Amino acid sequence: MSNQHAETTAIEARNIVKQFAGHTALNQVSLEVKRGEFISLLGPSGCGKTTLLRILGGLEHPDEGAVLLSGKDVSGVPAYGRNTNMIFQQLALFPHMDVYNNIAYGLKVKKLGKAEIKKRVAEVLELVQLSDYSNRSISQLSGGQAQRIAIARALVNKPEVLLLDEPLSALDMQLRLDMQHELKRIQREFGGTFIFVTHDQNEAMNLSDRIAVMRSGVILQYGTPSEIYERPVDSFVAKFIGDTNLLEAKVIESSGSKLIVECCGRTFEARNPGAAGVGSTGHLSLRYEYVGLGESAERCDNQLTGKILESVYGGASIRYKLDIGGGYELTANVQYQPGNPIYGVGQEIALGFQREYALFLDDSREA
Amino acid sequence: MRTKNVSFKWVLYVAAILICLFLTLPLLIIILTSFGAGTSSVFPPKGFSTEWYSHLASQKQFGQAFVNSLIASSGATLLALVGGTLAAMAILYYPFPGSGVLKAFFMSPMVVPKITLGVAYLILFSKMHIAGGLFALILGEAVTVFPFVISIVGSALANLKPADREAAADLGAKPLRVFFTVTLPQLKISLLMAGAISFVFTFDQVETALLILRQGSYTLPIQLFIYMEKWQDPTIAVVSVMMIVFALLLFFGIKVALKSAPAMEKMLGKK
Ligand SMILES: Nc1ncnc2c1ncn2[C@@H]1O[C@H](COP(=O)(O)OP(=O)(O)OP(=O)(O)O)[C@@H](O)[C@H]1O
Ligand SMILES: [Mg+2]
Repeated sequence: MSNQHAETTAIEARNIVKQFAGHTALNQVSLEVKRGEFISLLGPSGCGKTTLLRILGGLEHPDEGAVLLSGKDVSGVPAYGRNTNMIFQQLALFPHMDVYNNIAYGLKVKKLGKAEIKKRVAEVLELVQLSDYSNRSISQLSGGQAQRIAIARALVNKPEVLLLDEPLSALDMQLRLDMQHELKRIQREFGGTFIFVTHDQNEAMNLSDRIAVMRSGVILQYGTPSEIYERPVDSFVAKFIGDTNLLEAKVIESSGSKLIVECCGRTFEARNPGAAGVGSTGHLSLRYEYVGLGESAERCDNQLTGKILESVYGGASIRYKLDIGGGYELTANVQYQPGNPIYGVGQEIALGFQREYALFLDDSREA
Repeated sequence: MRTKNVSFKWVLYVAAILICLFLTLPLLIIILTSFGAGTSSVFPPKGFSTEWYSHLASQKQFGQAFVNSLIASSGATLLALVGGTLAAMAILYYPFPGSGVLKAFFMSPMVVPKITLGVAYLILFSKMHIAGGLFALILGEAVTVFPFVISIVGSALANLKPADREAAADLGAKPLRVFFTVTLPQLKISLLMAGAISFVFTFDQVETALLILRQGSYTLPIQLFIYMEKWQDPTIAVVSVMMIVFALLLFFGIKVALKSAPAMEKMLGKK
């Protein structure tokens, strides 16, 4: 391994396999996170996010594979020997200590001076906006306050890698946005590496440099939010991040990245992100906002007509559900400004979409 | 309707008072006897005097026996607390084939007749050349109270959250430090409870002590037993009263300790 690699990679998982009583929780998972990067693990419940995080933190040992911290193999190093800190899904604040002693715990283990400990605890309490709570007992905290104390307890140690297991899930919307902002700021300021587990795709999109989308023990795609949004590797990722129309499709003509697919009883031009050849079956993924209505449909590569079934006003945009014949439906999300036309239910309308935005996702990719 | 309720309430009161009397009457009789003036324990006592209390001062063997009892009970309790907690942790944290059987084995002194255990100890400790002394008694009684510790501390241990220990390890604490800063503090109350029960249980243990102790290391119950075989004066009652007072002090001591446990924690934690 080159030196350069060790300098830029903060933590890396290589071909991790983990089984629980015959059930495979992680299957050949590899993940590489650069120093100072903020990445999210995103996926449905039970897909192995927590398990991966615990393996990175040394709380669980993989059956196969290795974990590298700053290029050094730490597979044999227990949690207390790794410079990583975890914010637990169940928080795990010590019930027999007050807030101050919970936060000071890691610093006391490191044998820091009393004055130094006091100063750093006060700083981090201010950061999570709970300065007056130093002497509270843990049972006297609300769910959101407890989460913020758990964040403080990990942050105060300035770890090389911070592992966050859904730390914002108990917060109300406003506090959640504030904390997202704070987390991002904290991460920029001390330049730490954050690995953030979440169910919430918006949270992942807003915070992350890169997102790893997981399903049943494997990472399906690991890339920047725009890569994942614009070029999902399969229909699961496409549906999990953002809203998309998924239509069954079959390739009937292929030339480079341009495809002609049979879909909804018609033919459309579509983009080929992979190597799908003639005869492959899969789904056409068409994001709601890429469907144009009325005038904006006129210049599109694919044009058809539909009947409005439903229209939902959403302030900045309007969402239409359209019947395109043959029992097929499409959803379109149209930017709205006062003065723009609003189409009524039952109205016949032209609709269209560009080849560039209609992704053909090959089903054979999925296991 | 209302009068019926009221009269029923009185029935309950009377019943409660009768039960209280039934429970405390023996103690009351002991207390009254101890203030008797005669040379024999009779009830009702003839006259009132505190002469037997002053007489007790000259009976040095009771003081010695009390100290012996204290040593034996404290020793056995400590031994059982340390051993029992470790055993409970081993069974819970590192389950191995047969750990259930091991637990049942540790609980078995609860059902084995004490006198059988006593005979077994006598034979074993004689072979080890420690029979007759307090050390032998401590070993023997620790085994008898082991089940209390295993069950009380064991169930408290099972209720602790594993994530707390993981969090401590994640914050850099090695296993020993995790034990002393996270596990042990959360077991404090159950340790106190198991300790109190063990102490009280061993304090008036007769069967084992009677078999394995020799003169000079007699504990209080044995000393009383031996004294009673020779004399029938109210000294026995006086010693019993002292034991009642001691038990009450112990009881209230534990209550106070339990009540102030969170307060003490705060005091220690803050500094
Ligand atoms: N200690 C364990 N023993 C047995 N099975 C486990 C254990 N821990 C996790 N699993 C299983 O492994 C799989 C992955 O669990 P994991 O906790 O990593 O999911 P997750 O992605 O964090 O889910 P969530 O979003 O609900 O927290 C699940 O099927 C779970 O049942
Ligand atoms: Mg989880």
